[in-house]
Amino acid sequence: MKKFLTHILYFIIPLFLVMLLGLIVSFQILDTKFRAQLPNAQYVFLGHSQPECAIDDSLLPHSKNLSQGGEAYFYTYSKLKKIITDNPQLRTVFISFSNNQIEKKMDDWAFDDSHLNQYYAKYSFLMGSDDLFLAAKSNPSYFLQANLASLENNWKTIIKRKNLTENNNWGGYLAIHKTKLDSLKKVNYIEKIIDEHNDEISETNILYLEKIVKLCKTNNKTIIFIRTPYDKDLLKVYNEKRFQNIRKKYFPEIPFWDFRDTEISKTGFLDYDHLNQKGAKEFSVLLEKRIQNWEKTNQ
Amino acid sequence: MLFNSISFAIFFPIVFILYWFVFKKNYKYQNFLLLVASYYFYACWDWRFMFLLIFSTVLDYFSGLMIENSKTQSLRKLWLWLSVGINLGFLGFFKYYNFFIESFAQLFEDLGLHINIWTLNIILPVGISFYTFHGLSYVLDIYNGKIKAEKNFVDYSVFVSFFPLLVAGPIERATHLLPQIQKERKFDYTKAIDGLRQILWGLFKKVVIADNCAEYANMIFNDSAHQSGSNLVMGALFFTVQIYCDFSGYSDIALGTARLLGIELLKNFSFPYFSRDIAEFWRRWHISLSSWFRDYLYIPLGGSRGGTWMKVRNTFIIFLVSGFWHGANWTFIFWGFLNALYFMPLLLTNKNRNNMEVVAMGSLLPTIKDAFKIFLTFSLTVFAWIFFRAENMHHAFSYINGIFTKSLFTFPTIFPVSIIALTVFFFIIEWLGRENHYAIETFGFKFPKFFRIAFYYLVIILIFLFMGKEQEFIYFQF
Repeated sequence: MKKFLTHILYFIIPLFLVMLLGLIVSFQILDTKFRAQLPNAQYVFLGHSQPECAIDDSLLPHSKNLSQGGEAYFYTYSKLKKIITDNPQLRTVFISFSNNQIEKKMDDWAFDDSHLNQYYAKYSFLMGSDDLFLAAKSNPSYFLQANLASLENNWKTIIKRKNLTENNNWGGYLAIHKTKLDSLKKVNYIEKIIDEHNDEISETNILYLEKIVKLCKTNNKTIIFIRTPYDKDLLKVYNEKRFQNIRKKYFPEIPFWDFRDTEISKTGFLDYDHLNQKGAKEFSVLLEKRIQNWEKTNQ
Repeated sequence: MLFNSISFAIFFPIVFILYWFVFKKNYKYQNFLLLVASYYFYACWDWRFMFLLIFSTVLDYFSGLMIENSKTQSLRKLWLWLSVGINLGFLGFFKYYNFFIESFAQLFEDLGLHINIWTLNIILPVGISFYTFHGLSYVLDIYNGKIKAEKNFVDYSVFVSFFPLLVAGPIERATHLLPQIQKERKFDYTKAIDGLRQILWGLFKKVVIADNCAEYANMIFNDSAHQSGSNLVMGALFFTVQIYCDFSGYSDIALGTARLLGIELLKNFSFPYFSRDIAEFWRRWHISLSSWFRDYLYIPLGGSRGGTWMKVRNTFIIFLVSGFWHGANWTFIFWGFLNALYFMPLLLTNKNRNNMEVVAMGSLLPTIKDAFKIFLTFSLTVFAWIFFRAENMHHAFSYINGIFTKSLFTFPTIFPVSIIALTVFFFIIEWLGRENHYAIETFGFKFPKFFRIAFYYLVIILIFLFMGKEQEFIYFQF
């Protein structure tokens, strides 16, 4: 038995060390040799699926949309560190700030198995020790597997990619070519959303939004919060007063461009809070005008 | 708790250490540990159905004692039928209730009569088809005088619920497993290493081959109406590989895990895709199930004794029941029927006991004749698997219709080179190791140890690289 256990250890330890070394080396290579370059971009848009679908950056000069569906601020923060470092020409960071982003669901988006597998694997090389510790503490049973996914993802990136942001790997505008809002309204789907809605707050997501704000300030980047258009029915779901109180409490000085009530054609919505390609075109034109006016007043 | 999960990677070492270090002094303590561990393992799946497992265990334990101690034959029969009836009753209810209700309703609809039906939202208890058959084989063996009833309840419970085989087999026999439970187990270094090696190969089959083939099989089967003929062929091939690697991979992990605990389980697969005819295929595929049906259904029905008609009848019964065992869908029954049809020519020409030895034994390559036979048998098997995988008969037939179109001769648009290369690599290793119990049992033994270790490291790295795409073992649904 002793011989068996000894041989197992002699077998496992080198393997474990090689994999750990592989992970650490991949972190180094990605951090030092790879760039998240956004040529000519002065504005960057970050957030989850709402801005991902709503902001067509081809209609916005000097802009890049790096929003990604399902991305919590825990990952946006790590991503933004690299974006700011690699893009000194960047002037303004637009962060999507909407009702669901203060909610407890965002903790799942940060730390459940599928999100660790997808997002942790992609951004772990950018995380500090406190971020890694938080991920390990939040989902200890999956954390090892997430690091294995990270090992795989990192080496695939090193072998295949030149730029970290290419092929929408770090997010990008997603054009949706359909609408299902009408069919949702026909079955009164909003009632189901209301029934399943969880009112609790995500302190982690708010914490990481604070870190994003601080990161932008430290690097002299203007930060603006943005909320993309909703269908009016969605207003029944959320506690808007609480949302505004949190915004005023934690981020009183951050400009908030609230497009929630902006009129968009009925056929411009995919569902209650996502725009399709038609809606994104309408919204992006409006957004571009807003940016131009803001630039004029801030010059 | 899947075998290929972190939870099992934590669970099993704890059981292993307690088994060989803390409870090693007395095998009875080891058995108690195995029982607790097995119930915990099962409860991780669904604790509610643990009571069904315990009930089935208690029922068969007492039935076995009563059968043995009954003074009259009619009483022995009564206890036997009580156990068989209740066990099959539970199996029938959980697995087939809705199937029968819906099938009868459909029949009445086809006759122009509408009836109201009452289907239930029944959850299938994991492993019910397996542990029920364990219990049945036990009471039947006692009734037939093959074994004595087990008086120790813990020992018997371990036989029924031994966690490596609890949820997806192999279907063990009391004559094989109980004697091992009833005696002291000594730790054997060579067997333990062999167990680890078999677990490694099982994980590779499941995680690297089966789960990746499943992704493409599902993609094609779930959208079969829009696929070209060549893509549909690829889908059938992917599923063929998936089901073998998934099921045999699980069996390898089960056998390897048991061997680490000093227990040998029945071999369940013996390289079935290298079979030269269907009879050989069925001697190599899910061996524990086909031998169970042979011993407890085919032989009591008369087996091969009697005339040709009886042989044909019994063969069809076995294959149809085997299909039905797999699930409550006409597709499974048809799959069984198809295999029976394949078997008939061999049975009627008395060629069903050819090809008993390993193909191309001692040679690197098969003869051209054998290669052709392997190809033909494999093709027939792939065709039958289409029914096994399809959602219903309509889906299966439209899938097959879709294959035999002009688009069969186009290059498939779904052709994942890396997965196909890995699958080819896998089958080469399987071919080279076909004379062993499992493919890598003696792989690399002729070379320096360094090459063998490097091969194991390569397999482990591939497992880790592919681990994220987790799919549940197919046979858990049975």
